[in-house]
Amino acid sequence: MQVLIRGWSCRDLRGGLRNLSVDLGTPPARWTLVQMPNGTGKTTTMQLLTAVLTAHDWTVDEVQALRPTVATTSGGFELRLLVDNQPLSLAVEFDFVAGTAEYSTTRVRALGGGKEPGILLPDLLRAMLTKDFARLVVFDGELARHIRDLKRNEAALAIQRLYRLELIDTLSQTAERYLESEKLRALSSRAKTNAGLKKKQALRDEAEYQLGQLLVEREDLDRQRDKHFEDRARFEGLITTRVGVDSKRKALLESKRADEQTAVADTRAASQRLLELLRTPATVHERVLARLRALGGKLDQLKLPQTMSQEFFHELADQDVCVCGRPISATEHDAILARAPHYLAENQIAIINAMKSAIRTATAEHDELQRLADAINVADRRRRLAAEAVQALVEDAAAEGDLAIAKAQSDLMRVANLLAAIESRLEVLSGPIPAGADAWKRNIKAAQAEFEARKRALDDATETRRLALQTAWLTDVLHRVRARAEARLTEDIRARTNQKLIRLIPSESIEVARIDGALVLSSDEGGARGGVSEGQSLAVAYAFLTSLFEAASYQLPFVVDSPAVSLDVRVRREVASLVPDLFHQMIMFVISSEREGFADGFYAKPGARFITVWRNQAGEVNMSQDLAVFKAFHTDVEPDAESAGVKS
Amino acid sequence: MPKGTVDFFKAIGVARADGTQFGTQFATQFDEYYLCLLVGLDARRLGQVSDLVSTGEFIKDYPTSFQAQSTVIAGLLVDAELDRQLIGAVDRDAIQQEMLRLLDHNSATGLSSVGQGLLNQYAAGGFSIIRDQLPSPQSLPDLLRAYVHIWHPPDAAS
Amino acid sequence: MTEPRGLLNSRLHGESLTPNLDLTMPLDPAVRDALDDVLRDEPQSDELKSRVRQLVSNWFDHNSTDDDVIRVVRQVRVNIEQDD
Repeated sequence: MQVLIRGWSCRDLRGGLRNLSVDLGTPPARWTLVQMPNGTGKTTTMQLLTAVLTAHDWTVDEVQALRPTVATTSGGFELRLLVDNQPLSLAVEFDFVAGTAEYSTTRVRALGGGKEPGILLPDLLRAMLTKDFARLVVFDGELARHIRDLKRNEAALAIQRLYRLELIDTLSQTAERYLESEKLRALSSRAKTNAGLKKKQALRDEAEYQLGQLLVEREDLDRQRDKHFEDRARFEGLITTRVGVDSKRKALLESKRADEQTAVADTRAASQRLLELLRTPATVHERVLARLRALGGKLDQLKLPQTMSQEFFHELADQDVCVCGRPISATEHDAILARAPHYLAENQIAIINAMKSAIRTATAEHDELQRLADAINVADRRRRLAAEAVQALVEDAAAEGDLAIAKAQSDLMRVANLLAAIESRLEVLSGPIPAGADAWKRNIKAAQAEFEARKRALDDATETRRLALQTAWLTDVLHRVRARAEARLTEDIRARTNQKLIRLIPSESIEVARIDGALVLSSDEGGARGGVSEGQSLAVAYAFLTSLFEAASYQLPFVVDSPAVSLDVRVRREVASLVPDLFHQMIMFVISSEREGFADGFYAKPGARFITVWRNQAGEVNMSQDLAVFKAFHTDVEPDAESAGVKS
Repeated sequence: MPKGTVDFFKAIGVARADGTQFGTQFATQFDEYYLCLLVGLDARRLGQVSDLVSTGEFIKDYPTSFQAQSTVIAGLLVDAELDRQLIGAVDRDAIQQEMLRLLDHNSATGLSSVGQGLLNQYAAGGFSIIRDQLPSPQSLPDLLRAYVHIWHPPDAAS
Repeated sequence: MTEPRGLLNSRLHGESLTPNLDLTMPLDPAVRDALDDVLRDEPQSDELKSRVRQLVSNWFDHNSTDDDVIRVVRQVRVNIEQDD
């Protein structure tokens, strides 16, 4: 699907938009640069573009904000599009007296044209043009920041929306809704004749309720725990402050605390690696490996397992003639069957062979084991020393009679005890499934398992089990499809973005490390988040957006306000050289200072259009499509009336 | 789980130096079992059946982090049993019978219920050895350091 | 100009009535490939797999009904004895 902007018009709106009509030609220009100084309605124009595309719900205040004078009673805005070569116009009419806005659409119809109420876009487009997505099309600089804001999800959402991945979810949900309705139907029709069914339903509800309770309890404990962490941090902070009253002591305290923390982190890291290593038995000691190998050797020597299996003898017993040629009568048959159990069954042979194979491939890393144990030792000692040093500093301060410290210390102890109690309760709740038949009442994993089991029993009883399995298959497939598609798209877009970044900013190695929700640059990971300039940030956003759109089968126009103002001249030139070919249609609102390095890159392009809008001294708004006017324009110098061309 | 283990290892689940990360530092309860098991198997020592909470009920299958090791663990069990019962290296039939007794391809662990029960007993045995040699560890690093010590005492030439 | 009632009704439900518009969107390659990859190893018949592909494709095209989904789901081959 291809969408192009043909032009737009404003009527009786505030600012420079009393009477302004912009036409991008037929066919519409691929690149249009609009020079609109502040105060001529640039921001308003962009707002209106977004509003009609997304069928924005206008508040009375918003409508009134557009009213030019008290005397004006109404105004309007129209956006003219070409959707797959068919004209489509979206318009909004404002009633300033009532403070309302009404939309209408005009399109070519097989049975005659005419205005229809509402914004009527093709389904596919309407589904895609949500308010958030529209910000990618009518691009504001804020978005460049949002795409990298880790607390937001903008980059990932943009990908999902452009490729409509949420449709996969709605398909899943449709299947699940059907399943639910079938279950309800079965329940209500069979419940009358089957009391057991009611009971099963009650059991399932009980398990579901219990699971819910445990989840709530966990959330609650998590919250309490977080609060205690805060308290603890506060008390520690208090102690630090008090100790730090002596500035030498303070510096020392901070440095020791930092040591303690790195030591803890190191210890933990080494411990986890060691634990992982220990999971391979052969690693633990040479002896273990040696014994395994000896066992393997023994079995080989004894030619175990033998290749003849129990099954072989069972089959033999049923034959008329033995492999040796002798006939097998009932006597031989029984004898063979009696001896068969002495031989290993095929699956036992298989497992022994598997065991031998595992033994053969077992390796050991004893040195690493020792190294890690030493590392833990060293790190732990560092931690202890640092902790002791901290404690000594605190006690010094306390000994000097600082009551506040003493109190904070006792508070700390109190909080530590509370935390320990919470942690152990959380352990039961969230930890591995404990033993005991009532585990499901205390432990979340057990409760989930119990709920699943009871649900299944109910499904069986209502004969919706088959449907449940079928639905589960489909939703599982869809879930995996979505994950895969999203991963692939994200990776593809990430790679393309980085390719462009190499061109845009070759001297710095700015690259997108990954896209999880937000665009994460490699420089973000180092912890030095302030490292990217605004210009670079903008370059990243462009690289991302162009990559996002170029791979999609939609062709949408791209409207941007001051695309290059915060870029330095060299980056501007790069962006100017990169960007034109990547968008299908671009409308750029520029200010005069952006001409150099950016707009001038478009002057030679045959498909480009240059529009200048300005207010003359009488306060009237003029417009020109003359390139010479565009080039010469300065906000404080009114263009020559003769060379200005059309006064609109 | 051997009965005393929950208390013995309790500190590891709870103790943490900075509290910012929740979760027992053992990824699963199985880690505790496994560490005990290796010691028990190595020492060819069975623990008391009465120490066990319930035979076979504890481990229905290995957690995913251990599945790759299931056949190796089966091998270690066979090796330990052959040694514990002093089954001769050339007694082919006996060795074969042992494997028949202990292994079951159809079970999730690859062990028969007899094998499973013995595994638990070895874990109990290992636990009692560890308990004798270490005070209750106050943290995971503590335990791991001490554990490596049990296997590789510093005096021995290594 | 008055229009036949049928068309008027459809329009009230927001459907687009411009037959000249290319309203069909082939499945994006990323989704299509993901679908192929995931279905490849599934133990279902080729016919069923093909119907699933078509279902997803139609769904993306806004050219399917809830009933389509139901009928495909009911064709899925499952083993009820399995312990999942």
